[in-house]
Amino acid sequence: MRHLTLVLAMFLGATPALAHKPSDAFITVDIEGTTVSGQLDLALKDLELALGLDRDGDGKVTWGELKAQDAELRAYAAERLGIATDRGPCALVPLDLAVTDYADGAYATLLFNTSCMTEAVGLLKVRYDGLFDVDAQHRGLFRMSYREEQEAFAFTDKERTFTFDPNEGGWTRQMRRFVGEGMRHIFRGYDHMLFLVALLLPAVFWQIGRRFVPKARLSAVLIETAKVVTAFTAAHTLSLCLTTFGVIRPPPTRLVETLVALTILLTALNNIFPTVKTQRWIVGFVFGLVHGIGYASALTDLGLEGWHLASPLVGFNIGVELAQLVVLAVFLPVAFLLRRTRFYKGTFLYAGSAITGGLAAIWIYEQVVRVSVLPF
Amino acid sequence: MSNRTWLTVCTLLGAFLAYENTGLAQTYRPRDDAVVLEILPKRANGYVPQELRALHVELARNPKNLDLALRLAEGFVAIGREQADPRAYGQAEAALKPWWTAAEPPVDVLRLRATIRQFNHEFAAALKDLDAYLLKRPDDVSARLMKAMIHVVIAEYDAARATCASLPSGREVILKATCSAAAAGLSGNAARTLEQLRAMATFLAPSEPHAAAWVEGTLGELSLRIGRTDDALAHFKAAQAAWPGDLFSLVSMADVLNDLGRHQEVLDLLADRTEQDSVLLRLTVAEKRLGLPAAKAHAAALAERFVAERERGSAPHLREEAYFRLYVTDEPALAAHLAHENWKVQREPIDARLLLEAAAKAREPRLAEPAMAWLAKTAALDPALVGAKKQLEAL
Repeated sequence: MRHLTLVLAMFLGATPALAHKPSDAFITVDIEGTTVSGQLDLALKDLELALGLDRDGDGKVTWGELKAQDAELRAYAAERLGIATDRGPCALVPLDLAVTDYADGAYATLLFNTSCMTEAVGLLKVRYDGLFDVDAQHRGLFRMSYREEQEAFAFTDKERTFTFDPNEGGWTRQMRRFVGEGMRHIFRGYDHMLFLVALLLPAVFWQIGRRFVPKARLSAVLIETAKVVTAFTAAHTLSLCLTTFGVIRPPPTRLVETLVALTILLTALNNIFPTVKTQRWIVGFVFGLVHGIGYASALTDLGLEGWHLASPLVGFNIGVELAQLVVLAVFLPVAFLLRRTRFYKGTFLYAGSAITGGLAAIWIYEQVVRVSVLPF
Repeated sequence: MSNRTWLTVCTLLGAFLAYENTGLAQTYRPRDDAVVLEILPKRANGYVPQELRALHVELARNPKNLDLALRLAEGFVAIGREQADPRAYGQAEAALKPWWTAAEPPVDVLRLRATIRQFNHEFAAALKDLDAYLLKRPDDVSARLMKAMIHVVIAEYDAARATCASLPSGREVILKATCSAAAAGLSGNAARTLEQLRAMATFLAPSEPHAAAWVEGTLGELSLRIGRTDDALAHFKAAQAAWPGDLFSLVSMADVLNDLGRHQEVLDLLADRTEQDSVLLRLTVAEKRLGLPAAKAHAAALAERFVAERERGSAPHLREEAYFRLYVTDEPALAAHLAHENWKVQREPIDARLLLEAAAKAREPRLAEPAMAWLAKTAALDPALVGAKKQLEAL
């Protein structure tokens, strides 16, 4: 006997008797592109009370009995589950009736889809009036997946609507994502970093005639840097916004990248053959406008056209700013400490600018002739 | 971080992990129309589900009909009590919806609302309803018993005894005695109380099964208080014989058997009763200690049930969760915090034991302080309680 129970426990043990659980319904909505597919699971125990499934009164609900109530079930579900966008209610197209087993018993599963989701939808509203009249402790456990986001919500007697803003709903998440994208954009493409460094290489000097005289005080270096960086940032933010919101028609990517490379070339040349000597922030501003348009095309490449761009835009810009600060934090101390050395002027300023300018020239060549010279 | 935040973080982390592995729900289309998908609850306490359905339909047409609502809620509460099924209590609550939030609902609504609230562990609200109800129906013995037992659960033994004393001493004097014994047994008088109640029960045993099970279960509890494990087992067994649906005696018996290392008997006792989390927990502990592979699947099923509770946002079953973390997953620190939270809601011997043992194992004696104070007052001699107390004192 003892042995037998042990053996039975090994086989039967894995399926515990149906749990006693409070009444739940499960609502799942998956949005992929413009298709919305959904599933509503209602416990047969609850439906028995709401609709009376056990037609022959034998205390059991069979698949046949459930199927016989298909129409009533669909009507019941249609009345109690609604999806709408800010453009109006969505027509839910019923698909299959199926069964899902949960820990507390079998559930009727209604599959549906709808195609009301367009690119321009601002809000998605889900209303669930479920089984609250049958069970006061009833909950509609809602799970939604949208792009890479997961949303969960519990509908209760008192809270029967769930509003999801595809644009702001995941504001923080989107922000975080785009801060990352912004930083990556700076660090992955060397062009913006090189431009920034090229622009700041002479910041530790006073330029007198053709001569570079090291600045004695750090504050003078910082003021110059702040001026240049602020001008650059203001400019690229401006053009980034204007381009994303469609005020400026974005020029072709090829042209933008050529122009960006040109700004690097010109900045590098200006370090070797100084033309603009004191008002470098103007250079930062003018060229910043070009870089901003470059950022905008990167942002568009992430597939955000047509969506509310506020949070990605802010996030992306913050990311770009953070990456710039990292570049400054690495560059400035080194530059300040080495400014009096011959190494700085010779290797960094002249050779560095020459190499940077050379790279930029190659980029321009690549863009214009459409060949790939450099491996990156 | 406060305890509550800490708990939330841990349980949400658990919830997340479980969410990732949810493999329980499977969607399919049966091939045969004759496949039975669901077996509906059987008749209980004289209530037939089909009749309740008819009442439900009638009430849906006329939701403010008090008479209909009371009959329906009464039926669901009866089923809920018989099967300890939260769904039935939720259905009863829905039937009473028009009166549910009323400050002074009709008198029968008060009684039913108290019962449902007590089931949901809303003890203060339930007591308030019961007091209002008893003002209007002072002779209702079962309502008075419910009030006394709620006071016992929240460790208000003086209030419990006063309530018991107000019961009539007529034909049901054994109920009055059992009521008082349940409170007195936790106020430092377990040995004497046990002898008195046992003597009385030998010739005044109630014939009604639920009452008989309650008397025997209380005798078992009192035996545990003075460390007489074998006597306790015999009483719990008698309670089960009187009414097999009595969860309290079933679970208490399983705890004693698991403590004694008689895990095989726990398997035999609980195998087909696992619809209750409290039962599945004891079974899983027995399986775990026997090294059975089923323990893993059962632990996963339990973890999933706790996650589901959190997801619904309803009051979590802290006692069961603490038990789970302490004995099944061996996470004494988490168990101690859960047991500490639980102690704010329920203060029965099992709650004290969970808190003391978890705090001892987690080496957090500060968390156990409320249970230590309780133990000093009750002077309980349960080996488990005393053992945990010694461990804590040695820290």
